[in-house]
Amino acid sequence: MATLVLDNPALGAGGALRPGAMPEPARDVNYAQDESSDAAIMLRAATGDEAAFNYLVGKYHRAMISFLYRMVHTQAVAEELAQEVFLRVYRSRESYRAEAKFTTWLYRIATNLAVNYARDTRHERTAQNVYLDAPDEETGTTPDLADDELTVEQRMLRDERMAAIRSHVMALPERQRLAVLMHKYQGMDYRQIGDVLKLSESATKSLLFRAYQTLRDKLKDFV
Amino acid sequence: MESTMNKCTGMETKLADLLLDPESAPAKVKTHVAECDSCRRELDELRAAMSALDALTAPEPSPYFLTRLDARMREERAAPPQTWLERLRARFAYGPPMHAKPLAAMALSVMLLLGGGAYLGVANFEQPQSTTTAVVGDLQTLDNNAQLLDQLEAISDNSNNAEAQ
Repeated sequence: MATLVLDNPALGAGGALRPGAMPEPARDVNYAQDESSDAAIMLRAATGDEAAFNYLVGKYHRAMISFLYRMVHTQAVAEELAQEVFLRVYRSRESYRAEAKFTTWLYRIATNLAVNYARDTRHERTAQNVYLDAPDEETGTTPDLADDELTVEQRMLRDERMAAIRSHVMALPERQRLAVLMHKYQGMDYRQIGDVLKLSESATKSLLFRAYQTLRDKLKDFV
Repeated sequence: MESTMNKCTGMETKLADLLLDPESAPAKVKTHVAECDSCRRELDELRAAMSALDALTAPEPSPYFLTRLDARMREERAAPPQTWLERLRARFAYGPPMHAKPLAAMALSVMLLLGGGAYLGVANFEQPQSTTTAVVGDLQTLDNNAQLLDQLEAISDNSNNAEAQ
């Protein structure tokens, strides 16, 4: 895949970040004013710049896969959906408007696909057990583990903890689950999550707070 | 206890600010949480639950992901372009929400104009008045006048004949 080299040192990999000290952006702001921003790069991709599109794929494919994996819990399906996300981005490139951040648009597409997949496979889903030592059937890779030097008992406890946490997150209502995944794992602030889910700021805050309260009650034994 | 409960009333929304965006939470809220055991415990438990979610890790992407995506993108570029309907659908599905309102207002206005105009057109429909009434009346008047003139001429002729005799 072709690569795009950009000289601006401000560019980096990873998903959207919390604003930190940055002021709250106005609703009608143009995110493409900065030529090195993802919005400006996406606008270039919309005019046929393939290198610009490939740059965005390279920057966000890991974030997409991890987000979708936590939604669907199968790596093969997550990667399939992530490919579909970028295909949709490519097909809809001319409809992108710089009034929204590129990541907002990207996650909007991803949540649509994830929600549609969940609804289409609702009746097919069975209890899924993740065996961390078993290699993936398609890729031959094993899940990346933070600490390999654990005893068997510790591994079992860790697996049980992860399975319990996963099941409680999956049990959340759809919007709460999406909000928690975007907030906790993708590093998005509640304003941007509201843009993705097309909710007001107060509604998003309330949604996230209720989700964390539910998880607080369910995960008491694992805290 | 009652004063504490009164102070904690409505604190849930403030705790959400402290949990989700601590830097922008008002100082008053931070002070209350520092002084109120109940609210502080609640906030600590919520933060602990957030930390517990760190255990839910995601695996590394497959090394073949970009290769497979590249192949799909080549197929996509070779495919025929999207129809206007598909582009419109994508615009509504993935576009910003604020554009839906003016479009909906415009669509509603057009519907009201068409529907209201159609209603007024039907309600005010009347049979067209006969435009021949005045014309027929005039012709009838002329006909009567002509008959009258004929009669007057006949009377005049008779008078002349009577005088001649």
